[in-house]
Parts: sequence; C-alpha cells; structure tokens
Amino acid sequence: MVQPFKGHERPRLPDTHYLDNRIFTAPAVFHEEQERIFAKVWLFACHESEVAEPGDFRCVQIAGKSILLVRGTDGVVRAFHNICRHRSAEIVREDSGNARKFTCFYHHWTYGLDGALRGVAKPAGYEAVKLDKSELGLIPARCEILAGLVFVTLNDDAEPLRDFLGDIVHGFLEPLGTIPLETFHFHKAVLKTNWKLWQDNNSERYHAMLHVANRKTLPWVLGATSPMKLRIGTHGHSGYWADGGAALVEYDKGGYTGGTEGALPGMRGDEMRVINLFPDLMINIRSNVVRVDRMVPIGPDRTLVEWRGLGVKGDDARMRAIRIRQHNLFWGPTGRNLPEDVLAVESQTRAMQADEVRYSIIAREEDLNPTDDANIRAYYKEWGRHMGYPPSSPTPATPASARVA
Amino acid sequence: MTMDTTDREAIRDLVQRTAILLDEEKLPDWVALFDETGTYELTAYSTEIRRWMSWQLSDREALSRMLAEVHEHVRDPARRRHLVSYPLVELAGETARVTTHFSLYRTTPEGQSSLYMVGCYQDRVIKREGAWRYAEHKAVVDTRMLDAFTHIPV
Repeated sequence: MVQPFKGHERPRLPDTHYLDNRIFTAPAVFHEEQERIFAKVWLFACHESEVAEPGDFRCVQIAGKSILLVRGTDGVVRAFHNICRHRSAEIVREDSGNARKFTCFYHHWTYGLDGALRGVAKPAGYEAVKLDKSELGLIPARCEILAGLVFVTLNDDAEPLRDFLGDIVHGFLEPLGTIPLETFHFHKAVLKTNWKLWQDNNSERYHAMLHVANRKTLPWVLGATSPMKLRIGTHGHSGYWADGGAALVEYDKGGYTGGTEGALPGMRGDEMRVINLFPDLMINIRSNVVRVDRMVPIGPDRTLVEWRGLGVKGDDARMRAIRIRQHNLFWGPTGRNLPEDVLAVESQTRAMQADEVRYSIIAREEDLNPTDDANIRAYYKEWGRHMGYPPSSPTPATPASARVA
Repeated sequence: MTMDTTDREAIRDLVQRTAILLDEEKLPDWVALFDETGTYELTAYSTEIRRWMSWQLSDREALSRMLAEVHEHVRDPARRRHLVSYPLVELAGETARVTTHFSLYRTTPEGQSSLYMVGCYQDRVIKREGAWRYAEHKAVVDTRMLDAFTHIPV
C-alpha cells in the first residue's frame, strides 16, 4: 500500500486550526479571491489628506481596476473608474495631482470633478446621433470616509462602511479620527509572496520574536501574558490593544528614544495598537505615529504592498521629525522590523510553492493574549464565508471552476 | 599639486571609501567618516503623496547604535555593491558640496545580480584637522520600488 506523503498529512487538529497552503499558491484561488472578496467588500484606498484640497486626485488599484479618487469643489471625495467613456483610455495617468477638470489625452473628452461629461472635442460630429452627454459621465464607485481613511467598494450592494467595520473601529476612531492627520511617508514594493501571508504577518503576534527590536521592548513577546489583548471583531476584522495597566512598549530597554512624545489622542506614550481589517489593511499605532499597510494582489506569488506613515497635520518641524524618526526606526525601508518581515513571507512562498508541507497551523489558544491565533482563525473563517469553501480544504467542496489544480 | 587639487582628490577618495566600507560592511569605519555632528539621510520624492520624504535621518550616535545591532537581525543574505560616479566637488575653503550619482547592485548568495537602487549623493563635507568628513551625507534615491529591504544604509 502506498503511504501518503508525510508532508501532505492533515494535522490532527480541528479544521478551523490549520490552513491548506494551496490557498496561498493556487492561481484559481487567487482569481476567485478577486471576484469573491476584492470586488465585494470595502477596501482602503488612501488617506483623506492625499486628496485634501478641491481638485486633488489620487489614482489607485482596487480589485484590479484603476480607480480615480477626487475631491470636488463641494469638498466631497468621490470615486470613479478611471476610464474615458469614449474609447476607454485612462483619464488620469498620474498617481496624484490637482485638476480643475479631467481631459482625456487621447481624444480630449473632458469631465468635471464630479465625473460629469462636460465636453467633447468637435461636438458637431455627434449631432446626427444626438449624443447625450448626461449619460456618459465617468462610472462612479462607492466611496466612504471614516477617521480620515478613504474606502472604496465596487459592490453597489455592499453594506455601509461603518456596518462592515463594526466595533473594531473603537481601536482607531480616537487616535485617527479626532485630530487631522496627514500622510508623510509612502513607499511600496512588490513582495514575492501571497497577499494573505503579508496580512497574516501583520495580524499574528507570535512572530514578534523574529524582531530583535520587539524582543527588547515588548515584554510579552517571550513572556506568558500581556496587558494587550486580541480583539476579535465582525467580518474577520481584529486588533490588539490594552485598556491600561503595565507598560506596554519599553522603548528604553531597546535603547530607543523619542517614542513616547506627542502621543495621539487616546494613546498612552508607551502604547501600541494594531488593527487588522479584512481583507487587506493594517493600522499600526505606536503612540505618536501610525503605519498603514495596504495590499494590491498581483498574482498568487506577487503582492504590491503600500506602506504609509501618518502624523499630525500642522506638526512643527521638531515634532514631525520625532514622528518620522519613530516611524522609520521600525517601519522604514531601512528600519528594524520591516526587512525581517519581508524575508519571512517570501521564504514561506518559496517553500509553499514546492508543496512539500501542505498545511499551516494556526492553533494557538491563549485567552486572547497577543500570541493567540484566534484573530487569524476569525480572519480565515470570514475568508471561507466569501470563498464558499474552508481554507483547510479548498479542493473537495470547491466548484469545478475554482478547483485547486 | 596645489592645495585645491589635493583637497578635491581627498574628497573623491572619501566618496569611494564610503561606498567600499559600506559594501564590505566595515560599519564602524563607515560611521567614522562622519563629522562629530554629521548626519546621514535617505530621501525620496513620492509621486503618490506629492512630497519629499525622509526614509532615514540619523546622527552619528544613532548610526552607531543602529549598526551595532545589525548582527542581531535576520538579514537579507544578498550582498550589495555600489558603483559611484566621478564626484562633482564644489570647494569653498574648508567645506565643500559634493554630488555623486550612484547605482547599487544586489547579488544573492546564488550569484544572481540585479539593480537594487539608483540615486544621487548630495553631500556636504568639512575639513577638520586635515581630514575630510561628512557634515551631511544625503542619499537622494530615484528608486522607490525596492526589492528586499536592507538593515544597513545605502
């Protein structure tokens, strides 16, 4: 009798406590995620400060579509598909800018900041067919803002943003939403990994021991308990933060300074909070500065990650420098932690592609201490709800069109 | 050689030595190229947020502390090698502005090389006790989409 390859044996665990690694490698799963998750839910697009003034615009990729975000003269931020209604050229070809109107570079059709088609070149040519400009505005997408975070959904039937996010917003409403913040840092990279592995890395705290900076400054990393607790929200959202108590981040032990001054509203100087929103966003607050990660899946093994740093709008030069230094120390391209996280998730992808070990274990149960995997399990439960099959068994129950090869 | 020529040559040597020390990871020697109050900055312009960004700004003490910790990190195993252009030196007595284009290549342990970063050093150097040191060593980088990140400066 042929013995099954040991690396393909299922763990003797509840099926909620492990993942089939093919959800990270199979092209069919990747394509289904685009249709069943990214095209259906609310996705973070940018920070409100990136479209601060009337006419400011940003161009972002949402579920594989080019989406134009623009603040109108009425102050409202709107989202449109970035495609001219004439012959489908891109209306905007820059990442950002300020405009009074949008003129397609190809045949000069012109749209207002509200998306309405204002004019066409050589209009007499359309008189015979009585072209109705009022029907040919840019195609809108739903756009809502919470705590300065601009979200877009391509799903007209999606619930309101606030309902989608649920109670997990209490982790960031006060620090992000009660004073104006602005994006001072932006960098991006194409990681050779699956997008969910980056979100996992951002969500699970068990790997905090990977980082020397965390080993030195986060007493719970190698300890048993923490004043910070996991918070499991609805719809796969989660976070972890404390309600007070002992010191949370001991910067002094790592020899780091400047981490506690200028704490954001509701934050202690030694506090850290992480909020992970389904499917692809992390908000990480180190008392006086915010990191926001957004993912743009490119393929099963390629993910564009955008990293933002947020500080307080109107900071004086000294305070801004403190926030930038604190941000860069841990999260900049030459920071302490980020390079290690990238190495980890790219290593996972290389190994998973070989399919020698088929399952990943997410089985830690620790009364919601930060290294509990409860938030990962909640995330993948939501993933499975959207996909129509559990992440532990993407094959048997999968419709033929989506079966893992 | 005139004093002017000698200083220019010394400054060009400083630029070359900087790259070599970094590539060979002789990090304390690299830090020693900074004046006592010298700073290192890594900057880039973001077309997304339409502003200049400082990705790292460190004084000599912070550099020393950061680089002393390098061996404790899990690191990209690839090595990096700078190619620096002929520096343009604008001498003004005991100080000078120096502009040097650079490219930085990354080679994996398997021997696969790729271009990692392109940029320009916009430096301010100062002469103290006969030696030229960095008052400001500033890497202005064109490349913003990076491959594996690095724990050491560029």
